[in-house]
Amino acid sequence: MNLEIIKATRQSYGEKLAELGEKNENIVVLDADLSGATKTSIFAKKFPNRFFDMGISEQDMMSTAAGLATFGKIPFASSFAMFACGRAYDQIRNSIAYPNLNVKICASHAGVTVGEDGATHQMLEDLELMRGIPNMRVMCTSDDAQTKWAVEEISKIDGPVYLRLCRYATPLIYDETQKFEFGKGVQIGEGTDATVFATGVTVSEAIKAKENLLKEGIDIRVVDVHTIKPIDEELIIKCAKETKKLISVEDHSIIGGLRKCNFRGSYR
Amino acid sequence: MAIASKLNHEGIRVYCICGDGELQEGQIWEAAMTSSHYKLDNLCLIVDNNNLQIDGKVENVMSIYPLGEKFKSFGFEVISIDGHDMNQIINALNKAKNVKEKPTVIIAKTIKGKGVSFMENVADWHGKAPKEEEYKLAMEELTHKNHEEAMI
Repeated sequence: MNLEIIKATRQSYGEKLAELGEKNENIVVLDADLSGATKTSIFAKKFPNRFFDMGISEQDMMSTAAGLATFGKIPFASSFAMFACGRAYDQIRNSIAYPNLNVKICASHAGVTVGEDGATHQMLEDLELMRGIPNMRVMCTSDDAQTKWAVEEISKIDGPVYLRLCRYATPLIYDETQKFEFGKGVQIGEGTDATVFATGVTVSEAIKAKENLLKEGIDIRVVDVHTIKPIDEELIIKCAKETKKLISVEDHSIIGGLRKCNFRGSYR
Repeated sequence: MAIASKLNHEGIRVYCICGDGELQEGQIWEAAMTSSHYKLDNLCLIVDNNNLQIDGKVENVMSIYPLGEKFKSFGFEVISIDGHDMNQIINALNKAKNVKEKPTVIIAKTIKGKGVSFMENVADWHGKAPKEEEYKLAMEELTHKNHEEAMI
């Protein structure tokens, strides 16, 4: 992990989206007056005809994205997680997910790490909300390389995906050679004292904790859960058997956070 | 869909039918703003204006009026018709096709349950199915009425 270079996953998203726009003409992007913050502005500058600013109307943004998908477009709809999932839940559920339309909801500024924007903007329930919707896949990425991989990966999936992104800049965890697989967590280290499950911004924090704990003679393993749904049950069960103790680190409400995914997995 | 059709240069027209009660939803007006902002002249909205919703008369539950003025101020071409008159419907749809640079709304005045004496203008029939006897009576009235109209 490179602690020196930090980058927010929303920045990686914006850069990759603009790159994908060149390869795939069907990619269209929608935003709700936050393109500078969600970084869809990079795409907007390159492809103004395929970018739609919907103004501060997230409900209509989701319905418009659904309509575009019915014509074979691949819409990426972005806003802050609070407004995307909270304000437009009905449209996401009924207009996007139930008809299984090919819309990618890429929401930034999720979690408490939004910081000074305050409690109204700190979305702590989005993973639970999105995971509960049929057909919806849910991802939350931890660094630059993983986010860029995920953006390309979800553009190839035919169906709705929710990608949780963050405002807060975090260290680069992986180098370019790292391989990722949709639905499969990344195990970091072979520690046997406990497994710490983390996702998004909490992964680098868990790795820091792992390094500190090693000095005290405690060897934990960290699992980066970039795909929240479908959850990697196989890996959870393996870790439960090998380390006995499972811990989750959340930038989300504990109710409906990673802990719930782990319990579900370890029941089996 | 209307935006996608324009992006693809497909020339497809999109028709959307709305009830009047649902115009109380905020999203309708978000979509109305979008439709005129993106100059969606390939979009024709038809409002079934029977003035009834589940809890009663629209104007008593939560007034949406004046409706034509609202849509006009949102950048729509507004056409008001009798929603039971086929000639007026056809003329309005043809007129909408020739509107350029903005969406059209056809506000069709209708009577809920028209043609069935015990259903006409009764809000209670918004979302319930008739019983067997009611169904038979309704079908008799509708068949009889259609027959009479055909004789004329």
